[in-house]
Amino acid sequence: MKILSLDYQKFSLPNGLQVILYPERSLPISVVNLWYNVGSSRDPKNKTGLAHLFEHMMFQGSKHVKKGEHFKFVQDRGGTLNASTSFDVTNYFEKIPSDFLETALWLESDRMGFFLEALTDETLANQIDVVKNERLERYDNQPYGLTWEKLFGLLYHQNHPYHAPTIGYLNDILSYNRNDVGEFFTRYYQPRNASLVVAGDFEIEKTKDLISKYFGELESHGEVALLNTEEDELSESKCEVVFDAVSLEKILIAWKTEKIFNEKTFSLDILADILTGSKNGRLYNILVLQKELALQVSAFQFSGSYGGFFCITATAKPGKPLEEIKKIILSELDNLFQNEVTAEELMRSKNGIKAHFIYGMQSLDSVANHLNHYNFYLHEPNYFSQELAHYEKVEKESVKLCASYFSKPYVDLRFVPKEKGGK
Amino acid sequence: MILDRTVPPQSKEEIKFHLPEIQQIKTASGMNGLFIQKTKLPMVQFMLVVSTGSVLDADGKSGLANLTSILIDEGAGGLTALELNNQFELLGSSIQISVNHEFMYFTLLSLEEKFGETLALLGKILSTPHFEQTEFQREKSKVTAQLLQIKDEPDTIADKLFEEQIFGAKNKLGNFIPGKIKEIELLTNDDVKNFYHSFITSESSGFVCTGSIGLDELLKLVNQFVDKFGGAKKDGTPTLILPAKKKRLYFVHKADAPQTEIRVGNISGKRSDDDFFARTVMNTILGGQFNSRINYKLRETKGFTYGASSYFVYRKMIGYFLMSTSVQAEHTVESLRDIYEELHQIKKTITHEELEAAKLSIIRRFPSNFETYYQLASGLNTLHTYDLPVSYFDEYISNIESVTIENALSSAEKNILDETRVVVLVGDKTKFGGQLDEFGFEEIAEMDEYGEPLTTP
Repeated sequence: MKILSLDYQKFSLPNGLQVILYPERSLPISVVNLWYNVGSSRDPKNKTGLAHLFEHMMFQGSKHVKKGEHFKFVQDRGGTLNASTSFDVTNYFEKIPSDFLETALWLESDRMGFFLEALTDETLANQIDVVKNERLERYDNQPYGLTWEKLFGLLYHQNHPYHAPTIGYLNDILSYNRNDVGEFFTRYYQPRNASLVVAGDFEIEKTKDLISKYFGELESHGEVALLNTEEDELSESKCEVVFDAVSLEKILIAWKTEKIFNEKTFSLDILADILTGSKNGRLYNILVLQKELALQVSAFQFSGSYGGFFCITATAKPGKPLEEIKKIILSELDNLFQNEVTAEELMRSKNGIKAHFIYGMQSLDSVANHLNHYNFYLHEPNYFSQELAHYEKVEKESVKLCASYFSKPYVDLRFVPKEKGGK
Repeated sequence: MILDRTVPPQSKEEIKFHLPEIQQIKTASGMNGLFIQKTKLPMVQFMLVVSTGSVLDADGKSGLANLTSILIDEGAGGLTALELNNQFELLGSSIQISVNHEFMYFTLLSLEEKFGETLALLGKILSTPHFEQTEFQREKSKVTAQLLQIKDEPDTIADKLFEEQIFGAKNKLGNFIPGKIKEIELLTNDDVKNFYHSFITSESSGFVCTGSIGLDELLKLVNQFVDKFGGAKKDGTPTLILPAKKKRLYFVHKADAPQTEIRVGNISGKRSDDDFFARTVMNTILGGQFNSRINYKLRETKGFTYGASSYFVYRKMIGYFLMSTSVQAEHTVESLRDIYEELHQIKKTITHEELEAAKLSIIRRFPSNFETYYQLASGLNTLHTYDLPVSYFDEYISNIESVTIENALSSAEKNILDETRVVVLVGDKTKFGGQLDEFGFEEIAEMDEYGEPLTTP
């Protein structure tokens, strides 16, 4: 499909920084999207959350940009900015009027090259407080806020890079010192370990010169190798009940599957859609509409560099037993794999996916982020059409082949009101 | 040669942005629409806006507008709920139906080639909803179950309580849209049908649209499928009676909560007031973005919070100012003191540098408001909702440019008020109880998690 095939350029600077340029000049806006090959999977032992804390520190100033000025430079110029940390990567981005593209490149290159000069105990202490607040607000003080921390903790063994939550454990967050941050920067924040996408309204040759000007003199030092980790199978199913400040019971069932961009993940995505993607989703239909046991049910496939799993989660209506919900989930899965999905279910799912690929091209920051996403995992930024083709190739038989994942041990995680017996 | 990085890059600042043309449409029956053609992608974003919402819930029937919006696409035009959903999915289209206090939105997203069929489905939903008893019972029970979860969500408790108290009990502008559990339980399917027949009608509707479709084709399809539905328009405009002017504090005790949710605000001016642009600039300085005064103080200087922001919220007839944050419980009182100080200072001092930075930030960000199809449709919806002229966006930049320090200070004086300030705290009361005398509240009430008073004010 033509609109999913982008006209881009990719090259590397001598210091190893990968650069992807995608000119799209319908609005006077440019996006700078920078991915570092480091996420919480690289957190040192007993320093969980360091990659995420580091993301915060990157806004605390660098040698030529004072604390608070990074935001100010971008916002005063009409831009928006943010960053995010996942298990695999950390991502920084600015969307800015195209006349100020150079400002964004200056800012990103300054913190890539000259962060350490501005690092102080004061800024570190401040951001440790902020991250502590983030943890309290978004996880500890929210109903079901510990869902993902618990689930990943059960699915992955203690030494696996996905075992600990990206935000980190509170005690670890409070323990970071300047050495930790300094070492982390030196190891991971270098041109060779990053890829830069510039998308939007710009002239290619001029922008190449600017990138070379600001990033060219930054030095790389040492390779960051892939983590050497084996994903072990669960030897037996695990069940944990969390007594939490919640009113309704919730269950999550998760089976280990495949890493990102494995061919089977496309079938698993479609399976998730067929199960719970809409009112017609098989599990939604039976649990929410027909039997009225659940308030909501959803399924999804998670995949990263070092592992993947398929999860089904349901919130029970008051007084409805999780055990019955679980029984129906397992029996519906069994039924689906015994009898195959229907042609209409497949078509419905594929039509939705195709439309969403097109809808997804509206926003420049989303396109820029996808270019980096594909480049990071596949070394090919322009993978939109190919990814869609993978979904279009999914047939009844390929969904049926997913059955093998669901016959293996799994994690059963439940959240129950603490009044029901918790401490 | 080593690059001199000490001087930030300079810009020529050439604005090359051309506003998209807004076309005004009138359908055969007289419904008004606004349209922007955007051909970048073969898709259409369409929003039908009905002037009805939870302010029209009758006394004792809170949640009725919400329940009606949930049930209206649970079967229509001879198709069951599942058949209807199946049709949308086969087209690759989506429909979202939502309701707020004053409007109900039917939002469609479809590929251009499927837009006609998608709009035809919307036509069935608007004209011939089934409102079956089975669906009614099921969805009602889902809503009440969802409401049980509110007491677990401190941020929702705070937002809900603030809106209820700021508007008071004598109007429905602050009512919680999903309603009260006890009242929802008494609703009948006939209530829903009556609400639909009374308030969901093409005579009280308009639409906005952005897409690759041509104007003539759009008009033809709208005329064919959604131009005429429902009965005669009923006047449901509520009267506006606000609480007496008092400094009020409402709090909800959550034992051992590690954080306190804080809301501080007051009734303020309307969206259509002359000082709207001054207000926008002033709030950008105060709490509208990351580097604003309040966030900078509470997060970046003191480390009390993950984030703090302020904004203006509007109904058609009125608006309110709100400062919102969540802070470490032990810093509740100091945070409140800091917020009060900032709300005081914004009326006293705004520097030239702050003013210019805020204005430039808003002006330079303007083109990025026109990027996605949804953003364009939302922009058109703002014009529709507040009866703004189509020239509004043409004049937007010059209106922001013309704001002076005096205008901004005066808008703070007019819109951030001490004497009607409402404060909501949701957290462990042992961390702030007995330490609030300095704020001079004339009324303090402890509420339960559903917003009902535990003590008589």
